[in-house]
Amino acid sequence: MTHDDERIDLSAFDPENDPDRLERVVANVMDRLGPGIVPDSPSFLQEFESLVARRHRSIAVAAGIVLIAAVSWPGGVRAPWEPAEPQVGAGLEVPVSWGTWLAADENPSAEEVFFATTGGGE
Amino acid sequence: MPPIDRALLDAARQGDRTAFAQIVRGQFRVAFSTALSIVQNPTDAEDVVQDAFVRCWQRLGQCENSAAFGGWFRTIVRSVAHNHLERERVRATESIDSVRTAAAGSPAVDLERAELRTRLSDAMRGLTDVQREVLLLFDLEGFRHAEIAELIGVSEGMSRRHLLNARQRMRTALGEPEPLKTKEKE
Repeated sequence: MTHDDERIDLSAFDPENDPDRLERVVANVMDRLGPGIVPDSPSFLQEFESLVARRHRSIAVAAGIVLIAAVSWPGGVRAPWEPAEPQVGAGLEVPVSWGTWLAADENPSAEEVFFATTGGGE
Repeated sequence: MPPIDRALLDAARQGDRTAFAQIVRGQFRVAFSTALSIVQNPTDAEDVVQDAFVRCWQRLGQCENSAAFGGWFRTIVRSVAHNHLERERVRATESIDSVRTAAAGSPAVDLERAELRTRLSDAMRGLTDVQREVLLLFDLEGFRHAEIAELIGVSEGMSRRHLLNARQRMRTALGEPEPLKTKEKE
């Protein structure tokens, strides 16, 4: 043990040098609390926030279940992240309407052909 | 700060004064040392501790975690102590030394103790806040470095370093001769 390992005698500061100190502090603190003061409970706003948070959680869970069911059901709605139906003719680099006609059983009218080829121009 | 029982904290949070009185008793010594490290005299430290416990009661709703109580309450004590110091500086109407010498017991013992306290207080003025706090917690309250480190938010190594520096400065200020290290090893 070196000199620096020796404690400094601080017993002069020991709160129990004054034997009444603890009881005096306890009594004074209790007096100052007063009869009407109670500790802060979580405020109304905090209670409301936690209630809303709980409600939101259940609503979010319900909405998620509905969405998953709708997406996974055959013929259900298309989820935003799913690719759209491929448009016929898009890969052939011809006007989309041409592809539609090719896939359809009936022939296009002359007017449709005109609009498809000229873009409705002259 | 010593660990606090969760049931006790919950009861106090519900407004149970008996439970809160128990908390006051359990936390008093460490709160006193923390306050003393800042205001540097026992009478002021007692006032600070009282104010801190009242503030603690008023804000108990903010402390939901019994494990965090120690750090939370220590922050309150430190804040109240610094406010107290600031008020004293502004007032500066009463000599701190006249307050310091007021004590209970026989006059001769009180005088001797008051003189010793004055010497120690003067020596402690040369320490930083954290050095004073570590010194009081270790040498007066008997805390271990691991406990001090957790309480004041430093590493154990830093706690040791603060204690070493604090003791060296205290010894110099108190006029204790520093022995030669070589002699210590013999």
